[in-house]
Parts: sequence; C-alpha cells; structure tokens
Amino acid sequence: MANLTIAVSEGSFVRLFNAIRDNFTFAAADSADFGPFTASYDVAFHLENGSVDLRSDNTVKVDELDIKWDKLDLSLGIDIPSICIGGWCIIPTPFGCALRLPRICIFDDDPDISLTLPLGGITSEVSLTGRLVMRHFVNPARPPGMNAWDAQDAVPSLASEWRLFFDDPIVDIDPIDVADTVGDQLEAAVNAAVDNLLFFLPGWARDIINGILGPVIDLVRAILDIPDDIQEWISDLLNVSFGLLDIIAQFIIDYFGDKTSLTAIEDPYPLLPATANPNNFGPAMLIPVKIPIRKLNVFNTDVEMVLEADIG
Amino acid sequence: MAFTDNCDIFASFHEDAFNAVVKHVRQQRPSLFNYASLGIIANPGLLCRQIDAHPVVAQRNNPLMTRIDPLPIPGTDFAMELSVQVVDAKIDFHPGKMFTLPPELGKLPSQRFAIALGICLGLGCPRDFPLDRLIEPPQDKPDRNDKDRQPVPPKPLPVRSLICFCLDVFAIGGVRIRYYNGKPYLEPFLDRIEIVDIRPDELEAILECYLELMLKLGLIPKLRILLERAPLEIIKNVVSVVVKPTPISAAVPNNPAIEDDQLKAFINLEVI
Repeated sequence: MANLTIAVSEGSFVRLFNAIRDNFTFAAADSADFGPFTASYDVAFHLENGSVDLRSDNTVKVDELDIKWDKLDLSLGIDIPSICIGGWCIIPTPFGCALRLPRICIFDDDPDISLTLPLGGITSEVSLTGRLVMRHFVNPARPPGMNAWDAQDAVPSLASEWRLFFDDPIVDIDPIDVADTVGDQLEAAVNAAVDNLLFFLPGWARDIINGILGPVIDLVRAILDIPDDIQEWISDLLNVSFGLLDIIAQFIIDYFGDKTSLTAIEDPYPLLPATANPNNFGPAMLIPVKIPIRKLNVFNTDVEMVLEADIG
Repeated sequence: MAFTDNCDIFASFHEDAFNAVVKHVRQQRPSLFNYASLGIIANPGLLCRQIDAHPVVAQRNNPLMTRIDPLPIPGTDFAMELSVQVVDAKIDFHPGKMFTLPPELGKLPSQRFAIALGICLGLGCPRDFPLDRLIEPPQDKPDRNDKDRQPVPPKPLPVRSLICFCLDVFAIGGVRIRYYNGKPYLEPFLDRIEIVDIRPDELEAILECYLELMLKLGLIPKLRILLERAPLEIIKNVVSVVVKPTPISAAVPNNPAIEDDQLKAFINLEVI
C-alpha cells in the first residue's frame, strides 16, 4: 500500500484541463520564396470547447478541441511579367515619325502585386490521446552534490521535481480548411491591386493592357500555378508548403506533452516552509523541512486520476 | 468505490509516511524537538541524548536547540541549566496496532491517533562545584535601596554534566480543519496525555500538565499544514485554484478522517 494517495475526480480534472486550455495561445509567422511568387503567413489562434475523458485503459482522450483562428493572414507577392504598350507611330512621314504614342511600361517591380488575404475567423479541430505519467526531473544545470536547499535557493531554482506529463500523445489535427469564398477574395484582391497599379494610366491604355492580359485573375492563377480549386491550393500552401500543420501539432504536443508538465511537485517536497529562528543568535530563518518523495506513480480509471507516492 | 465519489480531491496519508515525515522534521528542524538553556546550547555534549541532525542544519548554521531560560533557584540569583528533549516520536492512527497504550488511556477511540513520545529532561546540578564561593558574606548594614534594585536574570550555575531522566509519554489526539486568515489548515490537537510509571500521582499530574502545555502551545501549532499544500500545488503556474474542505455529510461523516491506519482528507476544488 502506498504511503500517500491523492485522487482527483474526472470532473475536477476536466475543470483543470479547461483552465489550461483557456490559457493556451499560439502565434507564428514565416515567409518563403516559391520562385514566381513569395508567400508569408502570420497566424494566431486559441483553443475552445472540446471534451476530456479519463478512460478505463489508463489513457486520457481530449476530443474535438477547437482551434479558433484569431488571425490567419496569408500574404502573396506576385511578380507579373513586364508589359510595355504605346510608342507606336501615329503620324509617319518620309523623314521619320512625326508623332508617337507615349510608351508606357508596367509591372517592372518585383513583386508587382502584394496582397494579404485575411483568412481568419475559421475553426479547425484537434484531438489528442495519451497517458499520464510522472517523470523525475533533475535540472541539468544543477552541480553534482548540490543539496536540495541550495538548489531551491538558486536563481533560477535548480530544485528537482516530479512532473506530470501527457505522455507521447497522438495528435490528430484537421487540415486548415479555408473558406470556399477564398477564390472570390483572391480575385477581388488581385483586381484591386492591379487597378491600384494602373490608376495613373489613361482609359485607352488600361483597356489595351486588360486586352493583352485578359482577366487579371487568370494571369495570376497562371503565375501562382493555381489549379481550378483556389481553396485547395491555399490550404495546401499553408498545410503542406509551409508545414504549418506540423508546426501546430508539435506545439500542442509540447504544450500538453513532453515539454510542459501539467503540474510539478518539488522533490524533496518543502512540507514546512522556512520559518523565523526562535533564538536570538544564528540565522534569521530556519531552513524549510523537505520530505523526499519516492516511487511516484500516476494512473487513471474512467472516473478519477490517482497519484501514489512513498515517503523516502 | 472510487476515492473521489464524494469530493473533488481525496488525499490519504498512511501512518508509516507520517512517522517518516516526523523523522525528517526531527533531523531537519531539531530545534522543534530540543530545548535547552544557553550553557547547554554552547556545549551540546552535555545533552541527555545527542541530536541526530541532517548535515544541512550545520551547513546553514541552524540551531540544534531552542533556547529556554535556565531553571531559577528560588531565593537566589542563580539558576540551573536545563534541557528538554523529545527523543522519540511515533504516531499510530486508528485502529492503533503499532504500540500498546497504557491502561490509563484505554482503547484508542475511533477517529483518533495515539502518539508515543520519549522525553528526556536534564538538569545541571553543580554537585562537584564549591558552592561556598557563591555565597555572599553577611552585610554589615542592611541594603537601604533594596526596593529600587532592578531584577537581574539568574546566573546559571556551572555544570560538567546533566542529571537526566527519560519518560515514556503517550497521548491521544486528532486532526481537525481550522481556518486562519481565511485559509483552511490541517491542525493536530491533543485529548489526553499520560506519563508512564511516575509516582506520586501529583508529580505525574504536574509533569503531564507541563508536557501537555509544551505540546499544545509549542509544538503542535508549528505542525499545522495549509490544506492546499497537503495534496498538491496543483497547476501552480497555470491556473489558480481555491481549495476547501468537503462539508461533513452522511457520505463524508468525518473530514479529516483517521481510520484504516491513515489520515484522510476530502477536498473540494474551485478553479478560478
């Protein structure tokens, strides 16, 4: 029989998990050059909803946790081949051209069009299944032979800990599924960007350029190598090309798994805190009384999480 | 039946763990268990029992003993060096199988623990000291300013060793939840104390009263444990929680409960 038993009901576990979930935030940004175009993302999300279930096989399942995308901005920089119009002779003479149309070149910059698609406001889902384990952590920065009191006093603390982890979780994240209106968003953004580029041109020149280019969105599609389904192309760009899905999965694993413990218990555990020296000589404070914890084990049934320990 | 059928958090502490904890407390905070006057503190070799302290106590220059006044000798300006040591302490939760209580205490009641203490008292009797040297000669004239004299602390008599005697003390007590500054604490309390084999009975009663006061006023208040520290410092850096004892009910008739060789606490949790 264990010296010490602590059990937490599933209801309490759920409340604690919800509090951890509500404190979760994620933000990231990156950019990449894909040849004819560049792309970058700037994303942030928090977690909502989901359910937590302690299961009789000693696993914990977190199901259908919503990833609420507070920000999911995809920026594209598109380099359109340079186009020059005009310069044609409208009054030729035997001695040469008496009058030429002005020559106008556009799309000389790189990128010529920069646009940002605000794709936020969508929701993805993630599910996790794993097992709770306690691991003893000895701070690698702690010098050999340092006692527990010196370790606790060090800044930052070098105290050993028993840490509770959601071990080796299986994470299942839905791909980022952008809204089906993204094609319209992209078309509107490109048209606006081109109009902005051509605003200084006279109407006839704009008509000519549009005639050369055809619908601008088709040109941009060709440059970006977008297949028929723009929605799928953007999802692949975020999920696969940027690997954003893997980044998020790893972050969630780190948060609930190996790198962030759900809780930690200092070992040896400071049962009685430092207190004032009762004598009028010696140090002002007496050391805390620390109790070594051995054989710390955690498991769960379908109704509670149980932690058992022996005092060393 | 699950541990948490009637509460959010259940914590139980077996008597073996408690005795292991007492051992650690004795070694790491020996001044809770050893009291002596200054002459003995300066010369701990005089003690009735040598103190088994954790090395960190010396490294941190923590005291082995708590200073107490020497025992005044009435009618003199002198006092005797004095030590009081709790040299052994064991706890036995109901039903109580670890040791046998003296007949005066009877059978261990339900929801109670028994304590067996070894207490040693040492008194510095200067038997080989020439006391004549300390006796002032008679004065020619009475001291007219006697009323105005300030009381002076008694001077401890020099000693080379202590006269020691050790007592086996048994006590019965329990654990309750008390609130201090709005926070619940697990707090031990004493019902009765009994010293074995002391005669006459009045001397036994005096010593029992004295030891009871020492334990109730001195040691026990220092053993209170803040309830929220007892089970876990839950998610201390992530969420804030408020810990409250589960109210007494038919399902939880005792909280804390002392039964099955364990101290059990039933706790409700509020996540802020």
